[in-house]
Amino acid sequence: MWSYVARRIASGAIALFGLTLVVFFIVHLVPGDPAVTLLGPRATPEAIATLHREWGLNQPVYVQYEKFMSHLLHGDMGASLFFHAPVTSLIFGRLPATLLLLAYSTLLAVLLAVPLATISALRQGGIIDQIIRVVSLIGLGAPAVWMGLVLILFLAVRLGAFPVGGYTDSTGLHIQAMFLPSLTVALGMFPTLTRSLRASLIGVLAADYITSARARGLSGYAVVIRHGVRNAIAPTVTVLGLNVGYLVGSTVAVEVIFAIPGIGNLMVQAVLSRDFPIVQGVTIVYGVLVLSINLLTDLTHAALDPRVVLE
Amino acid sequence: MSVAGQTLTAPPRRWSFTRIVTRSWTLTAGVILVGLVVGVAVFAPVIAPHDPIHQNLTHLLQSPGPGHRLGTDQFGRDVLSRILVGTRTDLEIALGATFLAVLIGGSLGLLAGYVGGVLDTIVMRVVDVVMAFPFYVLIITLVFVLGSGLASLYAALVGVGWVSYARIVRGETLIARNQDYVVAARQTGLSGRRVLFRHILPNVITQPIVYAMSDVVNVVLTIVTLGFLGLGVQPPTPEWGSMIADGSAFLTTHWTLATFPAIAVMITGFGFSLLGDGIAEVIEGE
Amino acid sequence: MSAAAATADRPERQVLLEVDGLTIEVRNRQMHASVVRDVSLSVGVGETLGIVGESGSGKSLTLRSLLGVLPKGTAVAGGSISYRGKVLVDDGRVTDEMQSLRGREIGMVFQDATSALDPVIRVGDQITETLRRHTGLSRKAADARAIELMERMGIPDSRRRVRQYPHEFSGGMRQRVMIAMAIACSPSLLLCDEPTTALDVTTQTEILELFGELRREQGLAMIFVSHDLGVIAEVCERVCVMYCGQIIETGMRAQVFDAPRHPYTLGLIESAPDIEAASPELVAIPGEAPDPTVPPPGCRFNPRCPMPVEECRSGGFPLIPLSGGRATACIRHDRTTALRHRIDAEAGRG
Repeated sequence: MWSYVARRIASGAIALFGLTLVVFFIVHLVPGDPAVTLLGPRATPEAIATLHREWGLNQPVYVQYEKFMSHLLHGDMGASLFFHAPVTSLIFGRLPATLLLLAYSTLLAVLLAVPLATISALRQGGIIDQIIRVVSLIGLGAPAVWMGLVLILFLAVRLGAFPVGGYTDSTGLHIQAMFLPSLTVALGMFPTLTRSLRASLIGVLAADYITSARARGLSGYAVVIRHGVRNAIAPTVTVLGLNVGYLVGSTVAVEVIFAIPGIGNLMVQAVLSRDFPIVQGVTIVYGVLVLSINLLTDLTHAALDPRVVLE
Repeated sequence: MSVAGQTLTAPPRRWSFTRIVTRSWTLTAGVILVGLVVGVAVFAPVIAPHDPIHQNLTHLLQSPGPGHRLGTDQFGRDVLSRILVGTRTDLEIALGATFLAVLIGGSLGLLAGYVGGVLDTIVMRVVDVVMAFPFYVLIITLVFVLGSGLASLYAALVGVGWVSYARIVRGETLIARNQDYVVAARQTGLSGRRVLFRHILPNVITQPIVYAMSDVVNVVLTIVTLGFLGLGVQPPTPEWGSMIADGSAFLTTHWTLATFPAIAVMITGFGFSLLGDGIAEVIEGE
Repeated sequence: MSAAAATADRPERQVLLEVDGLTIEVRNRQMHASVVRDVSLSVGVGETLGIVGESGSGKSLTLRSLLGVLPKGTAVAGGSISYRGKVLVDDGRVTDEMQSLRGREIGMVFQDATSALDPVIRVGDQITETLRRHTGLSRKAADARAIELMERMGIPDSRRRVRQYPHEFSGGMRQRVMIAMAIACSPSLLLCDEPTTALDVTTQTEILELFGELRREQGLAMIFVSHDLGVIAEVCERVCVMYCGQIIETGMRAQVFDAPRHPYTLGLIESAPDIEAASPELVAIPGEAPDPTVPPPGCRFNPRCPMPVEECRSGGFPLIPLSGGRATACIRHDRTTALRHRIDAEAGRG
């Protein structure tokens, strides 16, 4: 297994390398002065001159890239134009909040999807199944941004059950404070998850080993949960993995709405204030995040299904 | 079965309208809903009761009523008109970007799968790099670099969106390439290009189209989210996302401002999802 | 007179399972029709009954209905099933008694062990879950028993293999595991749905020998469903022949195979490839078996029968009891022997 992990990390590194190339060179591919591209149309001549000097923009491109990469490999992603602080510390200071949001939302999404998909599959064609399916379809088109607002309105403001802001200092309150934002992200994920798990489960329940289990007199619980869901979960984990990019991205908007000090929020601020070093840094960190989650999903899938051979 | 030496085969099943409708209620519902949305988008300037950009400072934040069916926003602009014209904004970009993504991604995937070799490797490596990153993050980065505005939005969406289609079409092409009928066609001397267009293309087209239907929903959501964050379509062009953002400030007092555009988004999303599911149902039924 | 009564020529025979007038229907959006009609059979203690027929004859469905594990969309619509006097199906309705017998008194072996074993659960755990469901065995005791069972089924190195997954076994070994699961709680009746069809000939022989051992050592009664006459001939004492959802002939194996009393049975026997035959010609029954939901009028076999008469095209065809505990549905059964001689002569056989 470890050789597989090593190989995945290696190919991930190559993909990251590709991305740094894209991120770095896209600034130069846009016609015009890269400094102007980065600083925007309202850049002052002094700011442009400073950038030229700091980044050595008058030097050949490959030299710049080499300088950039060597800094990167030493853990230096430059300094924020806006905050006047190293990008690395800014990002890593905010990473825990994003990670918590990701983990919490995945948990909630699974807690929501598994029971609903199971009921749906068992009562296939029935009224509950139809309702769940329609709700899932509507949910696919529901903008997470608005869902977040609605949750804030009803559960935080009207009901007072949860705080409006997302993040606090003590761990205990985190669970409560992060509930609404995580729920918002989970609600965005849950239609895809439910649909895929339901389809998977329907296929599994028609399988011979289910009939065999019933023929051996096993109880309904053993048949459906132990044999049915257990088999249906593995391909759903794969679907989850495929949607990881989307999942991670949806946290960006949620962080903004709930004022969570995560890297998504940081990125949006940086885009609006044209703080390129941060945008660049966050993009790379997100890349690492997605690759890691992909690896984790594949390993989980392999753990769940003994037939899978890691190659 | 043979009659006087001629072999008769059963006539091909005819795709009559009624058969398609009864075959899949999902498809019918999807077509109706999408048709409605597209119709609104096309006729928006005509059917909108007010000018969506016009600010009427004497009628700020009005509740839904006779003059303004869905009320007005904080600048006195008619919400209904903004939603209707916003349909055009969001849908145009979503459909346009998706179409281009299918075109570019599909063509590259087709070539990569059919020709193989170096082209295939290059295309697939690029696809891998792009797919390694969160969709939103890449789009945001591209929008940042390319500046805000319509062109960069298109560029960002297409630039990131094409990869899924390249992958799908390449996979389908690889399968189709090895099918008996293709091998037979090549052996009868048909040129590569003819084989590609006449035999392979029709068979690899269905999967990307089904995927595109659900992808459109994602693209609409992306445009809306970007608009919400202030990174997409710029004001004063009416756009559902920025309308939701505007409305969020008045959530406790005028919750309809943010909700009506969201409902428009959901109807659109629901319609395309039904359409996609319906098409998939009909195809699988065959 | 039901077929069960007709075969009661041996008064000391103790009936284990009795099926009377079983009818199974397909029920879905498109249709609502019977696929198995008025089937009656019985199995005595320690007996092996074979049900033979083409695919689509309804033999698998009949077997599955005995344990109430019919596929989705099909259901018992009439008739009764009873086991040792307990009523499992009463006038088309399944009773609660059936659940108490599953896995405990009656076990089932499926055709494809690959799909009938849960791929994500260890083989040993699948055996122990059955054991622990029906007996009060502790974890350790159940594990030990599972190892013992696998060993008895001829799986070498069972202590280690009990922790493996199904895909790590060969086809024949998987089948042995499935049999171990089915007999784990020492049932009195084993239902086998084409258990050797998916195996190669050598493995087939081994598995059949295994079944033979189980019969001898445990006095296990079996109902064996197959389309392979050779397999049925090897394992079964009594035989039912099914065609198009109905039983058309029953009797002791030797009687039915040596001197069939129904043209379909004759056709089956004739079309079975016989390596030792003087002439290697294959004789097939012309035409195809009809869809049991839209059967032809009268005797269902009459469109393909080589000797139909006017009466064959209308009316019902209940089983006619013959001497020696046999029964047949053919009203011209006495002509079958002559027919056989004619076919043999034409094929150039002695």
